[in-house]
Amino acid sequence: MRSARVRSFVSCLSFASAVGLLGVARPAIATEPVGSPTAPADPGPVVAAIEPKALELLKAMSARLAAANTLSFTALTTYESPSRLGPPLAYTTLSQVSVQRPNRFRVLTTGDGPATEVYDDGKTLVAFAPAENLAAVAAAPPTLDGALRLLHESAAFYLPFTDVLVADPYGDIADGIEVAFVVGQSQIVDGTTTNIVAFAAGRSFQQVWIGADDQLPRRIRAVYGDDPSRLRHDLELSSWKLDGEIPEGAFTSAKAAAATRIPFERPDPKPPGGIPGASVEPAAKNSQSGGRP
Amino acid sequence: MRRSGFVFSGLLTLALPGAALAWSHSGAFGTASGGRGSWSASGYRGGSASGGDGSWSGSGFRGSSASGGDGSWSGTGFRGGTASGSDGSWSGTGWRGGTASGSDGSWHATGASDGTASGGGGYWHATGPYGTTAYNTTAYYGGTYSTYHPPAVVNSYYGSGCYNCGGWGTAGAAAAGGFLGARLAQARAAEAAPPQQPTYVMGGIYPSLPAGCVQSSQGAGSYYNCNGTWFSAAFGANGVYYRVVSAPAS
Repeated sequence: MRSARVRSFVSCLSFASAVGLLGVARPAIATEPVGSPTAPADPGPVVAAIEPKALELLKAMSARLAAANTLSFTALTTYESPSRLGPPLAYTTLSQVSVQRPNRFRVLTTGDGPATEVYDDGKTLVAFAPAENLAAVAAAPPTLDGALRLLHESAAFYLPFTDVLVADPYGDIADGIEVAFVVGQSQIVDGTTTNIVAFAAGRSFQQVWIGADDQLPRRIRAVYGDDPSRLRHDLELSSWKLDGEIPEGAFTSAKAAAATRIPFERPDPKPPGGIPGASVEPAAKNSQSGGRP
Repeated sequence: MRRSGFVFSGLLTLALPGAALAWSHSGAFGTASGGRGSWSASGYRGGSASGGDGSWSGSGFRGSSASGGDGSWSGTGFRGGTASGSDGSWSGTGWRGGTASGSDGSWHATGASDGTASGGGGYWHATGPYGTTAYNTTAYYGGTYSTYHPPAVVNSYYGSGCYNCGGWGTAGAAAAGGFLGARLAQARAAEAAPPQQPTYVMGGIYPSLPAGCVQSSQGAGSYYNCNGTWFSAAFGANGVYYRVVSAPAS
């Protein structure tokens, strides 16, 4: 698996190298007389290194997130998915996120895509579809990390900002990190100055814009090595509020509690032998109310 | 089809020993003859085979045929399926429209209902007719959070439905298979065809229910009877989806 990862990133870096070649060639063409062929400058070999400065920026971001008792932000997610014609279309979702460490969170996805509400009050984990009035309910794992993993494994439910929510963001990022480098600074993203870091870890290649003053992530782009189409996932994080007050009742919903129960279940084809914990049956309640979309 | 092939191979065994000299044989189940580097045979049901100068051909009693020579070969099944190969590559089309091809250690296939699969070098991935995708990496199931997984694209994403969007309920995401050309050609060829009513396949996944469903909560799930087709609801891939199931036990 590791060799596959390396191959994946080598291909990513080869692409970056090719783009670099084009970038170098352009000004040379502009300044040379017409008809004088000029060999493109050699950009040198790809450097598969981990820059200490890049790790420093990632660690600072992680420490800032991990130290916050509460955090809330808005996440605008754009991801690609193949159209029936082949080339991908981009889809967007908008989520309002609230977290109270160590084990409470709420994610309200309100814009585009299927509206969903996820609540975890530390005891019960609920995924609620308000339009359909259907809810999947499970006993909450003792940690927020555990709840996110349960959603992922039992229902293929993945929050693209998972790495921001977990207890140790840097631990997730650094797990299998092979390449990390500083791209530069931007004054554009979220109207503030950000440091841009790119890194390859696990089976993903990511680019992160980190606030220069507050160390908070403002934008994350990712492609995944396991995805042969190299579809791009883009996340814009804004309206950050750390250690603010979150109302006590924010992590539960009366409407979700009264909704018709359905199970958590992965929709994808199951491998031979099934997936351990792939389906979580709904808790005891079973209402007849609503349910018709 | 299989029986025809059996008769054919049995006759071949008879024919080959006589390749150098002229010979013939007639039995209760067919005839065979050969000489000077060629041979021929026929079965009692009408199948026949012949060869010579490095080429060969045969036909089954139901109309299937096959031929080869100079390192290439081709065959046609009696229902219309075809297959051919040469120079280390091969391709085939099933009588219902599925296709498969391969070369140089890789392969690609498209099912009659638009699902696709491809592989090579110990790697494969597949996309079902509803847009769900699977990869043969062990990390996909229960791996780290950095693993890729199919996003929750549904046809009703923007409300009115989008027949070219892909994803669930559109019978055919097309991640693989060329850039626009083939798909546009298919679309133009199908333009004259009247729109089809959706066919709900057992086990199929849909983002929404058809009209006129009646809800029924039984056991540990919520079920819907939609004009005799039963659906169960579940929460997965970032939203609610409905799967065609057998009628729940009452």
